This record gives sequence, C-alpha cells and structure tokens, in this order.
Amino acid sequence: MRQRYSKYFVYLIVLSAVALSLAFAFLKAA
Amino acid sequence: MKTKNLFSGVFFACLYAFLILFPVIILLLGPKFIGRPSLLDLSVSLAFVGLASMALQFVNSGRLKFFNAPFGTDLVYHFHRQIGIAAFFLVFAHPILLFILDSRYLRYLNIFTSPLPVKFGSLAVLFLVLVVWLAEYRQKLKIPYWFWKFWHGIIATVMVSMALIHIFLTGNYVSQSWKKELWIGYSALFIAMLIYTRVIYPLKLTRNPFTVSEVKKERGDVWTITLNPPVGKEVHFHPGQFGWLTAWKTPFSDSEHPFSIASSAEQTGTLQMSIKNLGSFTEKIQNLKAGSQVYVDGPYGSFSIDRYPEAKNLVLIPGGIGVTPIMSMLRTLADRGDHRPIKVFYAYQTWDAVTFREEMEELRQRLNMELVYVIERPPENWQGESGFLNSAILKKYLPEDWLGAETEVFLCGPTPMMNAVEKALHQTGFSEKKVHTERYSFA
Repeated sequence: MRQRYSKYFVYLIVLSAVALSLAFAFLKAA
Repeated sequence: MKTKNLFSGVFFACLYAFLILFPVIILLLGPKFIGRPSLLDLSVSLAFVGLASMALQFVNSGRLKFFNAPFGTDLVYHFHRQIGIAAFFLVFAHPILLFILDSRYLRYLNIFTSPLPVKFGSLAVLFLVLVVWLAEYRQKLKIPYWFWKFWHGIIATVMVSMALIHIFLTGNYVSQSWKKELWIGYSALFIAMLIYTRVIYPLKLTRNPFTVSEVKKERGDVWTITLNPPVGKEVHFHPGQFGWLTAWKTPFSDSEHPFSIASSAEQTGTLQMSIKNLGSFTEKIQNLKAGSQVYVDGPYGSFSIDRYPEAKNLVLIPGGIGVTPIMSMLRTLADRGDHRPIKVFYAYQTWDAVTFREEMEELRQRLNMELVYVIERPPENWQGESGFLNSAILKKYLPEDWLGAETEVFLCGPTPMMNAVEKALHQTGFSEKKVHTERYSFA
C-alpha cells in the first residue's frame, strides 16, 4: 500500500519534468 | 522515531526531486538559445532529467542506510524500478523527438558512420534498453538473481558513463562553464557513489567478518545459522529488520542475499538467520560449517515493531518462511518482558512443516499472546483453522476494539498470501496505515 505513494511521487517527478521541459522549449524559445 | 523518519523522508524526497529536476531548472535560468528548434530543446531537456534520474539510481539502489531508513528497503527498491522505467521513457524521447524534428537525424542510427558524440549517445540508449529489459524480464528469462544483479550494475555504469561523454562531446548545452561544472558535479557524484558502493563499503564489510557458530535444522526445510560478530563488537538491530548475507565469496563479488534476522534484538552477542531451502544459494546453507566466515551487511528495513512503541495491541501475521522477522519480534518482546496483548495468525501449508512450532508454544507461555494456526492442508482430526487466512477467521479472533488506532499489524509471507491477507485485513476493518508489510521479491 505504501507502494502507491512511491508511484505518485514518480508521477509527480515525471509531470514536473515534462512541464519544465515544455516551458524551457516553448516559452524560452519564444 | 516516527516523526524523525517522516521528517527525513520528506527531506530526502524533496532533495531527490530537486536533484533530478535541477538540470532543467538550470536550462530555464540560462540564456535563450536563439534559432534552436523548440522540439530539439524539449528532447534535450527530457533526456537531461532522464539521465539525472539514471545517475541517481546509484543512490537508491539500496546500499545507503541513511537513505533507506525512512522508507524501508523494499519501498526503495520498488521506487528504484519505477523511476528507472520513467527515466527510460524520458531518455528515449530524446532520439524520437529528434527523428520527428528532422528525418535526417535517422541517418545517425547507423552507429558505424555517425559522428563520435552520437556514437556514445546511441550506445547509451542501447545499454539503457538492455538494462531495463533484463530487469523487467529477468524471471521470465530465468537469469539467476546474483548474475543479473552483477551485470545490472556493470551495464548501468557503462550506460551512464556513455551518456555523460555524449553530453560533454556534443557540448551544445554545456557551452557555458557553469553548466559544464554542473554536469561534472553530477559525474563526480556518480563516480563517488560507485567507489563507495563497490570499493569502500565492501572493504569495510571484508574487515568485519562474522563467524558461523552453529547450523541447525528446523521444521519446514529451514536451516538456522547462528553467527558471532567480529571480536569486541555487538549486533544492534530492530526486530523485523534484515541483513544481506555473503557466504563463500567476498563482499566485492556483489553476490549477497537478503535474509531477515530471526534472533532477539536483546541478544547482542549473536545473530541468527533462518533460511528456507528455496534455490541454488539457500540449498547450500546447510553445508556451512561452524567456524566458517561470512559477511553480514545490515541491519536494513523499516518493518519493525520498534517504529510503533505506542501500539497497545499487536497483530502478527507470518506466512511460511515469512515467520523469521515475526520470530525476532516475539523473541525480543519476550526478552523485554513486554506484556502487551498479541495475536499471531500463523499460516502454513502443512502442520508438520510449521517452522518454530515448538518454540511458539514456549513463547506463548512467556507472552500475553494468542496463537492461531491456519493450515492450508491440515492433518486428519485437525481442530484448528484450515484453508487460507481470510476476513472470517480474522473477525472470529479479533474483538471490535482491536480494529482501532491502537493496534498495529505486521504481515510477512509469500506475495500471493500477502496480497490476499492485505485485502482480508481491509475487509475486517483495518486502515491501510495500520498494516505494515515486508516483501522479499526485490527484482
């Protein structure tokens, strides 16, 4: 059951990575 | 102890997330890249995060005690696997986005004609595919655990090294010296972790061998080995924790196996591990002789009654060889003269094979303990519970007031049994927070 929190943490990291990368690629380049 | 663990757990999680995302934050803070396609920036940025995650996999590979303590080693391994898969997709997005951006990048797929920096990048991706594929399909491919573990470390090291060389040789995103320093920092951290886990730590273990003092046969094809710590040293652990055992080889061979400590935490002069004959390593345990030297790395794990000193009632549920950490808890409680009410539901396939059956009776006399055996294939005229442990059996023995906040439940056994019992505990009325588990299958 604790494993669920680990999964949420991985999702959080991946979503943050994608959001920051999109910001870098599209906002920064604008 | 719980508050301290919560604090350090949150701290490590934040630090970990920061270190993974730091390369992109740096890119965001840096100057604009004029004229560079957005898709190229996106692909590089995702790969940076993927690589930082891969490099940090050496931190959460289970060997750093301070990092494992707040979470428990089984959860750290679980996270290691999940973040590894996530990093795989992030890194893989790099070549895919480049191919979408410009089909001319496809010519780089020919590793023999591609430029040197690309060669290193391609090899890194190939090794990444290999490392993730072997980890996911090890059991299906019937690769022995020790063999896989050794090569997992080697391939991962080569993969991260090649990716770092790829970054430095390509140079586009590390042209400013401070960005170069950032990646040199990551490389240094990565190399330091390697040296620590592969050289310094094994050397420390080699200098502190344990001596086998007794090898004893138990019921259920289980062998108990009693180990004496190095002269002048004591063993300190919490009941329920485990150690990594290396026998017949040195710790440099990276061929250790995890086993729960079965002895009482109050007996600091010796340490016992009870090991069931289940495979190529465990079947040889009976051949260990008194006087042999072995190496124990530990203790590890957060599966312990000592993390919940405020618990008024304890429910302990061992299944099969999962009894070893529970035995440590019971022996420790008995040695401490702890008289808190305990209910033990001990599930086993057959009555004859019930490990520690006789000692359980002795412990029942010394503790305030009710012992319920649940035997899958009981003998004739069996009066006790039979079949699988389910919510009907739990409800029969657990009064209503045991279902509240004052009871802590500890469950350890084979994975199918644990999955079923976790559901049964939930149906009985226990909240998730109150059920603590230890899962053995790390990979």
